[in-house]
Amino acid sequence: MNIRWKVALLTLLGFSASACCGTKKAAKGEDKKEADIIINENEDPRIQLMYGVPFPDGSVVRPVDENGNVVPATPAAEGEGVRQPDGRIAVPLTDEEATKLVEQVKAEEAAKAQ
Amino acid sequence: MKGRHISLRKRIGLKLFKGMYDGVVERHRLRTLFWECTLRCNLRCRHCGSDCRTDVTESDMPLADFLHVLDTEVTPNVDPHEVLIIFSGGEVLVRKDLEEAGREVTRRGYMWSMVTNGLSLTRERLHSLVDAGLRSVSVSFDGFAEVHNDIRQNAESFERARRAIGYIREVEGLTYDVITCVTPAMIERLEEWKEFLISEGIRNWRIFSIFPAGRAKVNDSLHLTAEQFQRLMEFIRKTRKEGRIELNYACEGFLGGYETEVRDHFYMCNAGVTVASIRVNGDISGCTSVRGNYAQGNIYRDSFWDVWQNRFTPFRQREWTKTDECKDCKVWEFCRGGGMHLRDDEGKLMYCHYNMLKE
Repeated sequence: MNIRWKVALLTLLGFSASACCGTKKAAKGEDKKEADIIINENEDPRIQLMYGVPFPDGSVVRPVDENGNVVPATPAAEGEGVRQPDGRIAVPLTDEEATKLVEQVKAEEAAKAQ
Repeated sequence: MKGRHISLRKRIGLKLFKGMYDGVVERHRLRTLFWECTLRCNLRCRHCGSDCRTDVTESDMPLADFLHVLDTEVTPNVDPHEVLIIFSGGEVLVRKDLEEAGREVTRRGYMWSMVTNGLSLTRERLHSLVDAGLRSVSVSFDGFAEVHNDIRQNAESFERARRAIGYIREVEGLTYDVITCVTPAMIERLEEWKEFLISEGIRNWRIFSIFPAGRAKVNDSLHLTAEQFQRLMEFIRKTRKEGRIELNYACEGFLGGYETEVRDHFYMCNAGVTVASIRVNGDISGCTSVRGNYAQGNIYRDSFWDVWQNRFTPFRQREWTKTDECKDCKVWEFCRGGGMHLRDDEGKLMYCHYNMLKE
């Protein structure tokens, strides 16, 4: 039984084609509401490796502002912190604050060690 | 509860897939190449499988050595556009020449990506890496601040990782996910954690659990019980059905009745089948999580391509794993002895995910 048959049978059984072979979504055509799945039987499946990364899709574009300018590569002001389930607001530290915190932790550890 | 029971429909699916996987093994096309470019790390995580630290004795591999292997052994034998190179560590951001490495592999037609703890990722550095061709990135994010910082043994690691993810999300088209290593401390809070990730705008999430290697081997408090593991599977299944966030369990082990319900694909271990790694000392292996004594060669004395084509027998022919608890296991044909990273130095299975699932 060749791969195409196996994939067809798996699909009939209700398994996604991406579960078993290399697939890609066809570009949406004007007359199509949903993207088709194209089965490429020459491609082996890519899986999420434990220490790996998701397979790239799309091309990378640097963020642009409303005027179309590339966002400068300098740290911008942080937004408001997010409320955590325990009610605390998680606000990102600045580099300075972080350095101080690390120094404080180190000092505490050193004090404990003595 | 699904547990270990495999329905007839799923059993037929697994049988069909098994035949397809045999073809994948036979072809063993190289699709992913890890470059363990450093073992240095700016953290000392309690669960680190690599046992990385800040004061490693192993030097970083010179970029020129890696590029030499690419140029003489890999590129002549593959279509670079089909091979994803993953820079891995240690913590890759400690390397100052990461951008140069990225530019060089991009120039050769490869896609590249990285895994990071996010601690030292600034917006500026990220943009510089994107400009060097970075296409995909994964960030470790193990739970709320107290849990994440405790595991990472660093008081600022949570906020730094969170900020890094925010920067990554700003870059349109940059593929990413966050990886949570679920420990007992997070089991009760998975729902809250999911809501937090969603509120942060994160769309792609991957979960794995501890396996006993590196420092995790001696940290019993990080290991899930069978009941907790089953709860984790149920949580992932439910979350995937909700469809509010893309969630996958990593490729760790065969999961019986949960196959295809907690991750997008049937279980398979691709280490040494479509995945190779070049370790920091030049060793050639499967995934970087596989124990060091499964190295199949070394780039400083062997031809990488010859090793890839003609060795890797323990990775591709798994009959040798049919010992101990795997010997008479009814699902060995689907599992083939579990992930290669789950085998200890003597080849014994350290952890069986299937056995963790109750009937």
